[in-house]
Amino acid sequence: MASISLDGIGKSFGRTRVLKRISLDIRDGEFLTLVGPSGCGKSTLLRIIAGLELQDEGSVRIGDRAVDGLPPKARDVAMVFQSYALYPHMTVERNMAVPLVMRRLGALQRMPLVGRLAPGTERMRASIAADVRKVALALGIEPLLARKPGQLSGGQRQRVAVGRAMVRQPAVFLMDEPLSNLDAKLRVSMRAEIKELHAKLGVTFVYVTHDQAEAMTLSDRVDLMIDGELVQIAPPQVLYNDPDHVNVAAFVGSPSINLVQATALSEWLASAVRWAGDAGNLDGVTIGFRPERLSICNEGTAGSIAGRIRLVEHLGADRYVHIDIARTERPLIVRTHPHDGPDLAPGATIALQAEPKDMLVFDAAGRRLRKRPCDATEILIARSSA
Amino acid sequence: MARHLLLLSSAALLLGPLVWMVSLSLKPPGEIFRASFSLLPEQWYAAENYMRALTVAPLPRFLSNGVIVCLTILLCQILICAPIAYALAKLQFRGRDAIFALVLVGLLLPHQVLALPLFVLCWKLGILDSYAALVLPFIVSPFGIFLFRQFFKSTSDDLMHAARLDGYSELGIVFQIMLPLARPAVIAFSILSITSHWNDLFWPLIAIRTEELMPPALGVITFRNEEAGSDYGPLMAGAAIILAPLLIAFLAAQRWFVEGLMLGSTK
Ligand SMILES: Nc1ncnc2c1ncn2[C@@H]1O[C@H](COP(=O)(O)OP(=O)(O)OP(=O)(O)O)[C@@H](O)[C@H]1O
Ligand SMILES: [Mg+2]
Repeated sequence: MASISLDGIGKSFGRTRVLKRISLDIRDGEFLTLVGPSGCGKSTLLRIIAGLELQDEGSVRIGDRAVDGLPPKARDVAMVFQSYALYPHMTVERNMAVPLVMRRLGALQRMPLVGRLAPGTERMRASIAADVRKVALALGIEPLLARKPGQLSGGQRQRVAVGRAMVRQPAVFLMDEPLSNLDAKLRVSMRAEIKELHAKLGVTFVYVTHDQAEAMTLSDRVDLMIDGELVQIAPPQVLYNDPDHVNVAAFVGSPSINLVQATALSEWLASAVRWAGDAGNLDGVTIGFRPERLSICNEGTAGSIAGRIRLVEHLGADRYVHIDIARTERPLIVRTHPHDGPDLAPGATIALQAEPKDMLVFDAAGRRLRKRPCDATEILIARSSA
Repeated sequence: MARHLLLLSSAALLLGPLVWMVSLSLKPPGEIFRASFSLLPEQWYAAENYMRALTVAPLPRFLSNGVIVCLTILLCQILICAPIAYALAKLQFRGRDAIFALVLVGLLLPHQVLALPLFVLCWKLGILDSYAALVLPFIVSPFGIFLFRQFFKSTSDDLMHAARLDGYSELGIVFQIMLPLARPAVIAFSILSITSHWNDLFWPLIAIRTEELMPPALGVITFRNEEAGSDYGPLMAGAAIILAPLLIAFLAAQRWFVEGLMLGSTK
């Protein structure tokens, strides 16, 4: 078990700066998820932790030692790759045994024929086989041990890859989008298994994903990266309710947050966001509403904005209502309970309400503006009655 | 239809001399220079020809020389080319592209151009007229480097990363991960290497004097000059005998051979 500490990690490939002085502390036993758009440097960061890529600046500590000069095999980390990277010419059993064979047997003992004669080899091989079998049993892949990776389904390969990482009991697990090649259903069940695995092993996990459901359900903390920089690191709930950046707000939540240019809402909310821009300059300011934080009311209600229903989606427990309001390109999505509120039919004219405290305001660069108006509700009401 | 005709006629063109060689090796001397043409002999003389080929000249000796030399060359080539190809395909270092360009130049150079410098080199090393002289000039094969590099390049980096994490050394990755995966390329390369050195006449002619060290092709030539004179029956029998191992090996490995050469073109 080990904590990981990154201090000012920078990396460039040729001219492009892929990582810009990233500093990050991961606690012992924590499940940290890295999310972010494609190409933002997540895999590169993972490879730097593993020692597969060398950083240009900064240092990596695992546990209580700096590992910058150590080769990958000496860092006590295991990695599960997106492509699984199983050795195609070896059986599942040999694939899983490799990390142990390379660690426990000497060079002489590993030789094909001579090795058998070296003292202790037989016993070592037997104990390795026993360890492999134990892990295979735990993952339910024991019947597959004699097969080659080419004869396995995607989900089975994924388990083998996890098994190969598990057998040698590393202090740190690095996983690079391990579930992205699986179908949706399998992904959900494997997600639960990975969570159990983390609980059982209690070691540090660093997990890369594009899937926000994975990020939200698995993690102790989620770390959003954009263009080689950390934007926010926080527990999933905080990320959802209190994002620091518009991209964080947009990444978490499904359906995703409604983002509206403040200028489009100026008549409704101008005063509420006046404190946002300098002297009421709303250019570029974005306001976000979570779909469940908007409510539908009758037209003409005080402090509301008029809209027209474009589409109603019934999802059993929930109902998503798409509403067009003036001067916005995309409709706002409102999440309601099927029997709440007035009768909703496409084409109907209704109005929307929101609590000022539920509005997330972002400046032109996407940064969150947290300063609260002195009393936003009052302003809203004052505006609407004016 | 036209395509088949084309293939058939070119196959006939290639196989014609081979068939004729076998046919001659079955005939008695009298029939060989007869004006009328027939593939099968009137009087079977195969046993006599092949017996003479095997007894008059040290043909078995030539064959075993060929086996020793070809296998040593092949082994050295693989041991040397695979790590170079791996470095060129997967590692980042200064001057890599320049080195690869040199490999391509090497690919273009015919071996004959290098014969004189190599002869001088072997003379300086004092290894002329020995197995070493037959092996040394060929142990670095630009074609092998090129072929393996193309193959290694097509494997995913993740595989190499996984191997490093699992504890393989770089050489371990080359010989235990990359080469086994490159089996079709290895087999294709082996066949090309073995046939070209088995049949090589030019370099052995320069490097070898002693009859005991002669590889098959050179052996058969001297056999013609010294022993057989114009006795073509046994000569053809000898030629047939030295060709047979190659044919058998090729037929056995044909599938992988084609696969290996197709590799670059389909990916
Ligand atoms: N070996 C390399 N040489 C040059 N550029 C590279 C190399 N590896 C990665 N890059 C570049 O670095 C950037 C970050 O790559 P990285 O693989 O870390 O992204 P990522 O966040 O994992 O993306 P994805 O979510 O698509 O996997 C990309 O722009 C990529 O093109
Ligand atoms: Mg990636």
